[in-house]
Amino acid sequence: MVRYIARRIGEAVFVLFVLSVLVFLMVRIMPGDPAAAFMDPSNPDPSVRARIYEQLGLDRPWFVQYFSWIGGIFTGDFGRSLTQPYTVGEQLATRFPVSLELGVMATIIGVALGIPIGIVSAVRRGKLADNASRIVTFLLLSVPPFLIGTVLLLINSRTTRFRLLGFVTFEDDPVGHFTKLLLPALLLSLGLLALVARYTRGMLLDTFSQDYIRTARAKGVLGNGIVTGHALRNAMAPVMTVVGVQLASLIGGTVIMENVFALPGMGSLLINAVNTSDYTTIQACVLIIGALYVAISLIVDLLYPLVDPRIRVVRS
Amino acid sequence: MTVPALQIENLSIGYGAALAVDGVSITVQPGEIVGVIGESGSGKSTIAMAALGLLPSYAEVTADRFDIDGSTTIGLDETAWSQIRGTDASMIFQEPMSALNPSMTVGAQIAEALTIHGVTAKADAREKTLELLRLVHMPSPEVRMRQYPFQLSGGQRQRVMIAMAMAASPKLLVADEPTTALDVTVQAQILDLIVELRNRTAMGVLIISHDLGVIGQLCDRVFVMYRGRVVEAGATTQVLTAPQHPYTVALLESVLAGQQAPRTMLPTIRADILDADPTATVADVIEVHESPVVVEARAEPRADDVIVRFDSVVKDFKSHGNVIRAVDDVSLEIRRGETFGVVGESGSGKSTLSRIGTLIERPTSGTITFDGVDVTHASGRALRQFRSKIQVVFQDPNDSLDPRFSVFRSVAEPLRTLKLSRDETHERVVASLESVGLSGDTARRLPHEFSGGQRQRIAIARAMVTNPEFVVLDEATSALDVSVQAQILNLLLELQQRTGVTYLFISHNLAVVRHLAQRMAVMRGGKIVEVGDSESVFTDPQDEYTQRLLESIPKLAAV
Amino acid sequence: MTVTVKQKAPRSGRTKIASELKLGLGILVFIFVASVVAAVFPPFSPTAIGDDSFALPGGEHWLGTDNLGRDTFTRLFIAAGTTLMISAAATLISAVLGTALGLIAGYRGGIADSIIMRGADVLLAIPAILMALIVRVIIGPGIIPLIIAMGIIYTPTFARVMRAPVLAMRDRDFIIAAQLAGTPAPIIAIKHMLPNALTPLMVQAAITASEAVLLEAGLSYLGQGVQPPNPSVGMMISEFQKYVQDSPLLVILPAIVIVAIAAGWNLIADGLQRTFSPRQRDTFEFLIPRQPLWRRMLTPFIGSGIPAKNSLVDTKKGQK
Repeated sequence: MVRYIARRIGEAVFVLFVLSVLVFLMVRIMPGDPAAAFMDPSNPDPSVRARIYEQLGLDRPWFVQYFSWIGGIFTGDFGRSLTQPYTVGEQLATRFPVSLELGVMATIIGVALGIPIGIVSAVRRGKLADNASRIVTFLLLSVPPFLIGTVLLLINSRTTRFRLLGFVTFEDDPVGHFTKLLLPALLLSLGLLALVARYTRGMLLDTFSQDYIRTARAKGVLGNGIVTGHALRNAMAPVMTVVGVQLASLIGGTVIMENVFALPGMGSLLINAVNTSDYTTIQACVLIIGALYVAISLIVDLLYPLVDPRIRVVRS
Repeated sequence: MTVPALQIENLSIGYGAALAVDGVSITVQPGEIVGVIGESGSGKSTIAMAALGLLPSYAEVTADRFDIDGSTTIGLDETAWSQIRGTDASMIFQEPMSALNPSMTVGAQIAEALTIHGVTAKADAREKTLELLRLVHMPSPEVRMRQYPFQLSGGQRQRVMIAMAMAASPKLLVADEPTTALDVTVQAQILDLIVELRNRTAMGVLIISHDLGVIGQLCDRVFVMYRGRVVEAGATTQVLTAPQHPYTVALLESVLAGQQAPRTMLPTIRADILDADPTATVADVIEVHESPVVVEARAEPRADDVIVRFDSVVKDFKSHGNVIRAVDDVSLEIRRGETFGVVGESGSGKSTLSRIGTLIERPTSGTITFDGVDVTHASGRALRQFRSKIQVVFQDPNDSLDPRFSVFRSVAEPLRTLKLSRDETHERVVASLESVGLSGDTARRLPHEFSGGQRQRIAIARAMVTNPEFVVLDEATSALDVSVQAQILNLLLELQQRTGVTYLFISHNLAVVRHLAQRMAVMRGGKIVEVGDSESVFTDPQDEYTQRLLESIPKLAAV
Repeated sequence: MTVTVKQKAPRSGRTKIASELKLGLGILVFIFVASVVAAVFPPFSPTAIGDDSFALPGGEHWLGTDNLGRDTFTRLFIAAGTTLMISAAATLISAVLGTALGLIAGYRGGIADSIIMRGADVLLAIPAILMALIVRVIIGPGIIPLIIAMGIIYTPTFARVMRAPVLAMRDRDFIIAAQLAGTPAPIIAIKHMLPNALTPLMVQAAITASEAVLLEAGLSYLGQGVQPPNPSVGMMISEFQKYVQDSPLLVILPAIVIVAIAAGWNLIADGLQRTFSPRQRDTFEFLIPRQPLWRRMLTPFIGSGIPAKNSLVDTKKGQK
């Protein structure tokens, strides 16, 4: 099992490394001249350009640039924004926690609600509860994350007029901070919830047809005991794998959700940066959001041995 | 008047239009071991499931009487059944690997059986679990308790199942093919265990099996089932020595209990006649076959005419950092035109040997010679040349044909390397199908439209279509019903007489090997422990393991 | 081990096609036809600005007009067609690439497998939106970069979906039989393995297509997807949010269209699943507890109320 953990962590580090290289290259293989933004187009003076290159560090060989960039990141220096008067690090400091909370809350809600729904659906297969939840989860999977939020806000603006938008920092108002995040997190979790519910249902149904369930029945175990004691622990492992994969979508969804609800997170920072071609910010955002996904999915992977004893035990 | 452990009267079970079980009545007295014997489609497993109320929700079950330990089970709901299961009646299943929860320790699963019915308080469960494990003779019970099913051997898993079943001292034990998935030596131990438990507790035992030997050795009374009906019932010795019903007679004749001369045609059951007229006589139903007429009798295989030779073959596999030696310095000579048998249990290396013999695997060291040519490292064109001369028939007829390939495509596949014209290919395929008893127009159909026996015939047709010189039969009849097995063995014999092909017949079933092979070898742990001509190995085994193997074969009573 | 004759009736050539499949296809075909009409014979030009803004449906403008008097039907269904085409193209590209890679990884194993799977892991680690944005940053905005980005994003999933059955089939007898017959490896992969993995592939294709629809909608909503003057459903929603007072239909109709297209693909996925790999019809009645929920919740405290058959005293072995 130690080997498993070590391998997973190693893989995560490798993925982060490749991600950083990709992000690094992304900006540098773009067509166009990065120095152009700072120069006077009517007077292209090569010596000016050379000085700008030197200033931005673009004259050094690529892997030197890469290491100084990575080195900077490890010390918390993400560079300066190209279009705004702030260091990227400052922005990240305030915005990253928001995205993190949003992502984590959505994940927890999605799994915590999705699994029970899936269980009820599987146990009461063919009955009303099952059919209803299947229709609802189906619709949830067909709706883009921003849509429910947008529509909800629009309806709200016409009718009930709750104050759904806006954001409060934790220091100012801890309760309000979370309640403001609750709705976007809930909406964000819907996609994951639907998927988890479906997969749980499917895996459980497959499990119920297995021989060992028949053995459990033959021992005299009753319905609840079968589901909780026998079926679940075998069905959960594949479900966790799916959760891990789906997280990428969810993290991506935070980008959109922050836009809809005007939350000051990484996603809104990123979109602004893309619109204004603020490359240093883009790089940092993509890297951090990607790292967030890798971290959460690593945690999910590390929970795997809890569910599947075959990883836990050394083969005799 | 003792209360029977199980009393069934006029049980019928149907799924939609088809009746799986039709008017069956069975009684099991306390202390009795009752057997139900039948082949696939006989309904025997359905009865076992019904005995514990485990049939699917869409099954229609009717009976005049269905009592366990005197109380009726008709109309019980799941909660009421859960009271009976495990306490009054218990069941053990065929495949212990899939029947045990892979994510729970063995000890936890046994403990559950104890605590559910209040036999033990949770605190005492560990002690009682150890007691039960000792009851079923599990080695090192304290260690095994904390292990998971995948860490145990097949026999050990079955012991765990039996321990779970015995936890609450049931009055009735239902065993559904309990030893079918186990090696012969392990099977003997498990059967002994069942008898021992019966002697200790005076419970009634209902054993379901297709293996006449198992039934004959264990059971006091037996019910013979065919197509959902009981065709014969009575004391075991009675039924097995003086069978009345044609089906029972035919079954016994197909079973190779030693009364058949080797390499002669076995009598087969004409199922179509039996289905059409259940009152048909023995003579109508049993078809005796003449040995195939050949133009010129084949000469006996000669010791100097060797077609395949294994020389000091060794095969190692790497697994989790360990090296496993699957084949350990094996040297064999197979003569042209003979049938060479290889007998072994699981882990003996016989399958690996067959894969090496067909050049699917390469030996780690040693050589394989085919027809005088060293083919150990053949590849490319040289290898393709040999592909048409060496063929294989596999064990599982469900698996050896591509489910999406028509019969034609499957049988024609080996002809690719011969680069024949479309017409020639078509001719050869049809000829091959006809030689195995199937008509040419079956070529258009898909495998799932055929029965297991027919699929095996198709597999044989595919193997023979290139007119190979050497065919490896890897447990080719092990997955078939006894009656179908007889037909296939006859077919193999006939093909060999006609074409002079050499067979390497691998099996765990000693009786079949004795019937078909002139010479044989016994393998254990990758080594050959005994080799010689079949009759001598059978009547006068030299090696201790061979002796043990022969002793473990369940004997039909009083034969 | 005995072979049990299966109880199902012999398959009579016609497989029963699930109703979801027909419904999903119906929806997509309808949208496709409507989009062709909107593109080829539009009642109004999609860019024609008119003075009749916020018109209601019915009458000259079948679905009304927007804030600039442009015909909603035309714009909406051109956008829908664009979405449909993007989802189909992206799926096709990633399916072909991913399946080929998955076949190679699964069949060859070894180094090829490791490289391909590592690559897949890395690609899957990058959330789809980020990848799309990265590509957009490098190549620029527009439909082609979008399709390329999606092709990259979805390829690893197909590789995984193809690899799993290949690994499982490698050791099966009919594959070994094919090897014994002398069939060369690529032919085995294409003629034997691929057809037997067709169902999960097709289902995944439909699922991927629906994901592509949602991704494109999201990106267009953020302004990073399909660019004006090409109409896109996502952008219509973000643009017309502010006019919701004047004409809520301007937001509702595009919303319905997005959901319809995604749902169409999802229905196809479900339908394919049900048609080609149906589950047993057992409803596991035995699992449903007979006691109502409130009573079950009390069980840990007051016991189950079902008397145990054997008391703690085991008379055979003495008092405990």
